[in-house]
Amino acid sequence: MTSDAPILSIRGVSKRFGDVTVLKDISLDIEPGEIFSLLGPSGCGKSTLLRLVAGFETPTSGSIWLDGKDMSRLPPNRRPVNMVFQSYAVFPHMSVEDNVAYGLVADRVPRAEIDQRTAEALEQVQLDAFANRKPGELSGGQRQRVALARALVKRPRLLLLDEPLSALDAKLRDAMRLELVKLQESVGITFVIVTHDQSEAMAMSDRIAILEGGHLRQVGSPAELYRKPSDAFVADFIGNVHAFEVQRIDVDVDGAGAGAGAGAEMVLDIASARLGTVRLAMDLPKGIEPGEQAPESTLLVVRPEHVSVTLDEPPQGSVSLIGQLGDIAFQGSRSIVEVQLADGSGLTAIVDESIADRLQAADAGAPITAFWNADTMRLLARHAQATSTTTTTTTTTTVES
Amino acid sequence: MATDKAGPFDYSRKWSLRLVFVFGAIFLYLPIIVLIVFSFNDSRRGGNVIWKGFTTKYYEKAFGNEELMLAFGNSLTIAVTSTVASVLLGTLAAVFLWRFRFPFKPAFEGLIALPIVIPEICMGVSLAMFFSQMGWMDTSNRIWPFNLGNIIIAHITFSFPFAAMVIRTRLASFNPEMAEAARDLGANEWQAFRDVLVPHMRPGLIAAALLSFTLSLDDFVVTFFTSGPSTVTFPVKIYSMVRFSVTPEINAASTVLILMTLVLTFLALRYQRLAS
Repeated sequence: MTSDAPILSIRGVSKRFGDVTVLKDISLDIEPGEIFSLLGPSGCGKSTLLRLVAGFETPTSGSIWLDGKDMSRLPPNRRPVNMVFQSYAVFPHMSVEDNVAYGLVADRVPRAEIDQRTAEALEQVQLDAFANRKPGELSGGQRQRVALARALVKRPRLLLLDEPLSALDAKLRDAMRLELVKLQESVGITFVIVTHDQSEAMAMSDRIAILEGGHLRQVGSPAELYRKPSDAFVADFIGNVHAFEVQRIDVDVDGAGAGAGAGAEMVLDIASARLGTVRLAMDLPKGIEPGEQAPESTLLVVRPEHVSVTLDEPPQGSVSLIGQLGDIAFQGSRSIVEVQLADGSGLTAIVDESIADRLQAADAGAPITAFWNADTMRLLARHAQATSTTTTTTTTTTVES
Repeated sequence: MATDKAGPFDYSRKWSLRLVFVFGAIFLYLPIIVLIVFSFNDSRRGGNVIWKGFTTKYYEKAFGNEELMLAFGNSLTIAVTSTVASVLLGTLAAVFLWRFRFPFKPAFEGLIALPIVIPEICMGVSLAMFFSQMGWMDTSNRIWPFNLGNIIIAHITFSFPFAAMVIRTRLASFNPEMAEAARDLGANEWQAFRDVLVPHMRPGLIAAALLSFTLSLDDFVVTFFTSGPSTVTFPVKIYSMVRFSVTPEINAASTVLILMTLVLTFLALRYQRLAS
C-alpha cells in the first residue's frame, strides 16, 4: 500500500430503506490522517453514511473499502473502525475505567496490557482522576471524553464522530472543538465527523463533503468550498450569499464562443437589471451556455463580505448595483449595512469603520451604490432546494472592464 | 400567620381528602393488622375478637402441622419454578417484540397479553379441561415435584404475560446506541445482549420476578381447578382449613406468608436501588 492510497474508499454506495432512497451513488475517498467532515442539513443522509462505514447498515449497492479491503459486509465488531455516538452511549452500569477497557476485553487483550492502555487513554482525555466513577456522576463533557477514550484505546484506523459537539453548551463546544483537533494531531488517527453545523466543519476539517438529499454535492477543503462552490446550494450552505437570477449571458466583443473559459468577457443581465460587461474569473458551469436566454436555474452569487458600498462612484472594474441606504448595524471594527434595492429586496454589505462613519453622516434612504469585485462573484446552477434567492429589478447598472 | 388557600393539587392540605385517605388506609390495612395481632391471641378460635393473652403456641402448631407445611413447600416450589420460567419466557418475548418488526405484530402482542384480561375462572376451567383431556389430571402416581407439573404450567401461563409486559416497558427506555456501541467496540450480538441489554433490563427482571412470585404464591382459583386430589398448595389448604373452623393457627400461617412477602419486596427494592 502506498502512502497516497486512501484509507477509506466509498465506491458508488446507495442505501434504500424500503421505498426511501437515503443515499444515491456516493463515491468519495478519505486520506490517511485527515479530519474529514460529512456536512449537510438534517435528513441529507450523512448519518446513514457514517453508519454504513461503522457497519450498522449494509449498502443496498456499492462497496466500502478500508485499507484496500472490501469491508461492506463485515459486522461492526470486526471492522477496525470505532465510533463516538451522538448520545455518547457510555455504559451507565460500568465505571469509567470499565467502559474504556470494554473494547479491549472483548478483543481478549491480556489483562496487564488492558490496564496499561486504559490508563493511557484516560490520561489522554484527562480523566485519570475519574477512573472509578460511574458515568452518572460525570458531566456531559466528561461523558464525551469517556466515549472518546473508549474508542481511541482500540487504536482504530478510523474514528467516526456523530455530531460530537451538538450536545454541549456553547462555551464547552468551542473548547472541545479545539481539543478534538489537538487530539487528532497527537494520535494521528483519521477522523470522520458528521455535523450539520457549517462553521464547526469549516473550523475543524481538512476536507468536507457536502451532502444534500442523499446526493454528494461537493468535496473539498473549507477554502475551496467557500471560494469555488459547485452550485448555489453549497454556496449558501457554506456561509451566506446573495443570489440573483441571471436572465441573459451574452458573449462580449472579443467573440469567445460557447465553452468560454475563465477570463472571458460577457454581458450579464440579472432579472431586469443589466450588469454590463463582466470578466468572470471562472469557467461557465456545466449546462450554462453563453447567448440566448440563460437557463432559469442560473444564479449569480456574491457573498455579503465581498460587497462594499459607496456614496460616490464605485471603483473601476467593479460590478455595481444602485439602491438606497438602509439600516447600519454597528459591530465594532466592522458594520453591516443594508442596501434597499429598487424591487424592495435587500442586499447586505460588510464594511469597515471608515466607510461606516461616512455612511452614518448620510440620511437613511440616500442613494448609494453597492459594488463588488467581479472576481468574487460566481455563476452557479441553482439547485432545486437552494435558498435565499434575491430577484432584483434594479434600473441601471454599469460596468467598465 | 398568613394562611394561603390550598390549591387544586394540594391534596394533602385539604381536610376532606385527608379524611378519605385515613379511611382508605384503615379499610385496607386494619384487617391485616387484626389478623396478625390475633395470631398471638391465646384463644381457641381465630374469629374470637376477645383478647385472652399473648402466646406463640399457634405458630408452633402451624409449623408442626405436616399437611400445612407440605402445602407450603408445594407453594414455594411452584412459585420458584414458575417464576424462573415466566421471567425467562417473558424476557424472550419482550426482547423479540422490542427488537423485531414482523407482520401481524400488534395481533401477536394482543394475544400475549390475553391471559391478563381473561377471567381467572375461565382460565382455570379451560386448563382443567386441557389437562384431563391429556390424561394428566391424576397426579397421584407421579413423584414429587413432578406431581406439581400441572399447577406449574398453569401458573406460568398466567404470570408470563405480566413478566413480558414489565420487561417490555423497561426496554422502551433503552438507548439502542448502547448496544451499537458494544458491537462497535468488538462485542458480538450475544456479548452485547449480556453486557449492555441485560444490565439495563435488570430492574425490570427483578420486578417481573417479584410479580410472578407473588401471583403464583397466592393464586387460588386456577390452582384449585388444576390441582389433583394429592397436590395441595398453601392457599388451597388454608381454604379447606377455614371451612372447618377459623383457628389462630390460620392467622399464624397467614402472618408468616405476609412477612415473607414483605421481606421479599424489601430485598427486591433494596437490590434495585443498589443496581441503579
